[in-house]
Amino acid sequence: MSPRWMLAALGIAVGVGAGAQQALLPSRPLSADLLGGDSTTQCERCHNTRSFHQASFPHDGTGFPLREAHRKVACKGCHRDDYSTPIQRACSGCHRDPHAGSLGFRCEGCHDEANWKSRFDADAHRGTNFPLVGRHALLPCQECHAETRERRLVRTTVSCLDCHVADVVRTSTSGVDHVRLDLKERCSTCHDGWRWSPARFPQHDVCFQISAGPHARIACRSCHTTIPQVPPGSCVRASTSCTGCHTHTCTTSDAQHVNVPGYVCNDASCYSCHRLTGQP
Amino acid sequence: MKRGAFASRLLGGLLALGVSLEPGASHARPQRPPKREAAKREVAEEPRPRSERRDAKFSNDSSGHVVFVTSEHAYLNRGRANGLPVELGNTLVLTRGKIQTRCRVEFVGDNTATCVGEGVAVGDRFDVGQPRTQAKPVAPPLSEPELRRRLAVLRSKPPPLVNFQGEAPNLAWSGATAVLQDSFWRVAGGGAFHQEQLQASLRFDNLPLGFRGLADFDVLVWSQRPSTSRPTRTLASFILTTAELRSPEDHGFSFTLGRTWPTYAPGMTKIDGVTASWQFDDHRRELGIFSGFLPDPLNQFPTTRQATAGAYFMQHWRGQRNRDPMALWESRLAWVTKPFAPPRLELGSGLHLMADQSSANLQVLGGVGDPSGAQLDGVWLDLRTRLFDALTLHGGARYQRGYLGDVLELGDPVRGAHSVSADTGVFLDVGHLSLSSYARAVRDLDTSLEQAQFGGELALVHLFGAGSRLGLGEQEERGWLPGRTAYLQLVIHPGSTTWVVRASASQLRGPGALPEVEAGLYLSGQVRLSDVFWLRLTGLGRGDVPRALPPRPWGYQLTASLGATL
Repeated sequence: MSPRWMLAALGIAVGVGAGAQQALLPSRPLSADLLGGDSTTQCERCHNTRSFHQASFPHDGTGFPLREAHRKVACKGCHRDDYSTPIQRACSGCHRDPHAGSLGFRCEGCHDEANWKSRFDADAHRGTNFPLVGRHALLPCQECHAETRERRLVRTTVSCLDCHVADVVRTSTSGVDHVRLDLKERCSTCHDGWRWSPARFPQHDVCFQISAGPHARIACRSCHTTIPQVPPGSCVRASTSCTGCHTHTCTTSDAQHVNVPGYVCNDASCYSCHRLTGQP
Repeated sequence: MKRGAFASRLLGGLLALGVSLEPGASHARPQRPPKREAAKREVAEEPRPRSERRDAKFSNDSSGHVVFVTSEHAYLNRGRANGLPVELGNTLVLTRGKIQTRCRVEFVGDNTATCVGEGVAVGDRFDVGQPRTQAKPVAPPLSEPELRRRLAVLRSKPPPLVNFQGEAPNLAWSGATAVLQDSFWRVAGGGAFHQEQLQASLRFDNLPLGFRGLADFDVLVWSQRPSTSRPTRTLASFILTTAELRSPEDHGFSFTLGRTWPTYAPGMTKIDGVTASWQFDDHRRELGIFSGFLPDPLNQFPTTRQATAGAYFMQHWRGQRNRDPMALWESRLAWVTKPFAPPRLELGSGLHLMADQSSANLQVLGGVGDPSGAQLDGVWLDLRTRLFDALTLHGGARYQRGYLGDVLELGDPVRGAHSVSADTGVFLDVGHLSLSSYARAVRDLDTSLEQAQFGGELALVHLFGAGSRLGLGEQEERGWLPGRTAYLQLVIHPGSTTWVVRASASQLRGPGALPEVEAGLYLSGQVRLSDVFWLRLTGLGRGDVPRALPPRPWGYQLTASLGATL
């Protein structure tokens, strides 16, 4: 008779097992020779007296404690060959890589043992080469990462135009034709990650303040009859019309500017004094 | 520390002085082997049980301790008569130094009790009150002669052996997981996404004739999408991820049929086909051949547009014990056809080393047959070591070539990526304090866009219960989208629940652009409803910090997941 059966029989004989027999547990382990030979096997660590089929192995001692979902996996799910052959403790010891190796071997960076669903979110994405800002952080992953077979999730770092070329083309029918004005790069100078409009135009303040003050939040075409291509560092006045909003007659203006030297009643002259550049 | 163990750790430490990056996976700290695990291993291997040593050290009656732990139960040395202040079903708080765990009492005897809980270790202590009744004296252990006499009686008439054959083969599943998830995204002034998803997995480990089966599938339904969303998606899809049937090993031979996925084939993905493998030398070597069609990369429908056939080989070097160093080398050689490129011969090889608390993983993929001749598809290197209990280092480096992807996704100027990246990090744990710092860098070789991050986190661990973590982190970002991010995150595990709260603020400082500041709040709660079901609710809100240009945009995402593990 094998030692484990001897121990089981002895256990039954002396009442070792469940519940009420607790008080009868011997205070020291049974010696090996008492069990008729080498008996390092502790049957009760895996089996219980309710059913021998309900065996469960104390896996903690192997260096790979079974937690969360791993507690429910059948032994054969990982131990394909036998139960004594050590297998890798790394995830790749049992799990096939759905990313085909493209994301490396640190699965725990995104996954946990409770369930395999990734906890990689927009905040974590900020650690990649494409930080998610504004509206991008509130999109389903599938909107950009379409592949489902290999889920490589690795793609070229793209500039704004690579995705938003249609939006740029669409501006030809809007107030500011980005194609004609060659505004196809450095979108973040004027636009944020949340919306196209309203947009900023920080360079405009050099000529005429629109980021704050009474002319903030006014659509471009409210002042500009046309929007010309402006060389960097210069200001163009020919396309603006102050009187489109500031409706008054020259008779009234003339009376208000009696003591202003060089005063002439037209748009360009208004601008020469009323620049509102934010400068004192 | 023994000289061998020290040398092993030193070698691992030297190996870890590398750098790397994995876009995506490297943001989180590596999983440290828990002290609990080491403690339990120590218990299992020590000649003298820790409980005995603790018995000698603590002899007062005001506390009890765990004397024995099985995979299901923890056995306590105090019971009803010793003042154990709980009844059946109540929760007992166990302490081990600064760590607290909880254990649900399932049986209370006069002088003993048992409880069920996660993370319980021998020696964990608990408080008891004054004995309520006169303790019933514990029956003294049987004397050695009496035990010998009983043994002799048993031997004289041995009981018949039970014919244990295990569970009979059947068609019932051995394990199953399912997650039903409902997600909702909304941005003010924009549209909303509403998605329902069911992911399920079934395992059949005891099929007739020794076969085993596995089936994974994913059902995705978009019940709401903005009319302007891109690209246009199928509103409902059923994706069969895996469906394979594996034969029993007959003299080391087995075959797998269906939508299968060879295990030891670096760079290989799933195929609709067949794999045959031979294991020999005590499962230390495996040779396999495979052939089949690759599913469509977008919807995983079976298609004949891509095919592959080839072989793989695995060699495993290992000792007899789990703590012995081990190495695994795997290689794949395959002929692959693709719809957008000429056929090519692909070679993939991976080497995985593990020694004590250190590991190194290297993978190389390449191919021959392109018009340009031989091409290196990618090299990945990941290193990690735990020099001593408190200090963990990790690092890695990788190079990826553009051939990798089959899908030209939105915005991609080329398929896949052509980039080089690196990252490194260090974690130091001292008592309740945890310090970490990291640095990452990536350069896209197609667009020349670069991005780098470096930062650190100061965290207080186990301060609000076992496993809790209160962390304050800051990250500096340089490159084509410069900025910085700061966050405060709290993780607690009261009872069988897990709660995460994170508040973050990010600043974007583009060249020539005005500073942009976003604030975000993330809340997540996971509750284990029973031994089978769990529920997770997650909410993420983000908004532009109020500034000059209204309307001030904001958005949120809500996700509810109901999972079951059987």
